Amino acid sequence: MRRVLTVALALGLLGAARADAQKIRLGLSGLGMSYAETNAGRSWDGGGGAGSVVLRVGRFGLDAYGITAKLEADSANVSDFDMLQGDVRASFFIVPVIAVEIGFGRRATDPDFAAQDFGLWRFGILSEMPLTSLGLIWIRGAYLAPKFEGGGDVGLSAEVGLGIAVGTSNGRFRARADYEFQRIDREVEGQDVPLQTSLAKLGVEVGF
Amino acid sequence: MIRRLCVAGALLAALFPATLDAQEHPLVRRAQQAYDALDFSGSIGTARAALQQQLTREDRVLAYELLGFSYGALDSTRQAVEAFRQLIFLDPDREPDVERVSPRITSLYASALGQVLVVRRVTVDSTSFIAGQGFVPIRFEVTRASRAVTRVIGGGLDLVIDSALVVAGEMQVLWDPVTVSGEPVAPGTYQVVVTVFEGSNQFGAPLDLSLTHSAVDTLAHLTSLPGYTEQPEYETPGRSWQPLGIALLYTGLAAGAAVALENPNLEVGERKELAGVSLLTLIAGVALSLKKPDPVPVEANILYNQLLREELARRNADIAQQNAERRHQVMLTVVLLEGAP
Repeated sequence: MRRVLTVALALGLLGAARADAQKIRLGLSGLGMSYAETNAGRSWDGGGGAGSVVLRVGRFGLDAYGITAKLEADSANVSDFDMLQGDVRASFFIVPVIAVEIGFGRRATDPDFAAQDFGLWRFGILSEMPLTSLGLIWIRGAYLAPKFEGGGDVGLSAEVGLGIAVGTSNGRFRARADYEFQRIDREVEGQDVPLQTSLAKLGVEVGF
Repeated sequence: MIRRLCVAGALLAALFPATLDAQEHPLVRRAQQAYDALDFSGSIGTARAALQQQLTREDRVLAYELLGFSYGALDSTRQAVEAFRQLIFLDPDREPDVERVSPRITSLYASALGQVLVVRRVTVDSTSFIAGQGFVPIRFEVTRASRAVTRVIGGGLDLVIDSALVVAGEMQVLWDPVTVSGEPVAPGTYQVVVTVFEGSNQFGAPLDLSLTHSAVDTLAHLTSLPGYTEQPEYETPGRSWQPLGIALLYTGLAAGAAVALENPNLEVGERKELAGVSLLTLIAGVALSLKKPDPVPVEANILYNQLLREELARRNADIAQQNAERRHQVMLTVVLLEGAP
């Protein structure tokens, strides 16, 4: 506990340099999504909505997303399902445009077993770069450490993200588009059962 | 007795400045006419006769001058010098006009001047200054080595401000018009009397001054520093394609990584999510590159202006302090009274 407090205090002191830039942003987005797992015959497309909270306090950042999507199967052999997903990423900016990220996520499907449910930890890097005073672009990449309810071993697992936000110069309102690609290689009893998600969101944000 | 007469004569000379154009006595006028007609003997006789009469100071001065000139013209050196001596006692500041008289007469006058002890050309430059921070310069000329005593009389004051052995020539004495306690002397009329002593001889010359009090002007506060102007704190940079470049870079990295990560055993699809967001990103990059950039702060100029304002504030604080002092100070103005040399 004492170590945690010490680390928190050290990070707090480091973060004080950007303490004047704290800002919280709330966003709503529509989304399009492609999901595939196991083999080429099991893929889904669909859309839904997402809500987001983005917080920047000094050198610290917190990004939280909640996603709901209705996915329709591309073939008659598999059934449609609804998906609920939550992601949280905490970041620390080591330089003004580069941050290290740590986070977790959880995905659930309805009905059960229509697709794979899992939770994951992520460890990655975020680069945020302002484009004039009106825009912000970011890219992120992370190593994923998923844990499946159905068990299995995990091979290569990573995600990549790209996003842009453009709005008023005071940052109050922004239009936002972002993309996430996620690959998780899973092996169950010697069989490859990979997962792959491609997600695009388009929405608006309000900053406070 | 002679000494007193000399002093009295000198005081009269100062109090009644020479205005010889206004002589009235007919004998003096006749002596002048004779001199103008080069009848030097006649001029001497008439002038001497005039000096036996009751003459005004102006006529007396002119009579002695005519005597000196005429004796000089007749090479009567001793008499000429004696006439000039009398003239100098009466009006020490009067000198032969070198444009009108011969060098011989000028040298005779100089010889007479070297034989008498007088104070000449006593004068004060009109001046203004803050009490305690300036002086009244009193200048005079002494014809022989002597002790010169300078006194100031008036406003309840009778003060010897200088007493010194001096050589022949020009002198200057500074008067600090404050009392012993440091307060400025009262406004009014003051008389400066310069008296020179040499053995039993002495000669004094007075000079009247007017001294007035007034408030000291306060200093205006500065609104800018001369020679320094504030620099613009914001500048609009030139149009840049950097936003598009960054958008291209980030989009390329993300798209390349996403495509490289795709699992070949799974349905890839049309990559419409990647294509859509990449396209929007590039459009935003182009739009932000084409938009006129917003003004950006210029740190160096901001710092420069800050230093400038701090310096301005410091100087105005100094001015405020000076003004607070000035409101308690008195401006003294010294002016020669009319009729003084």
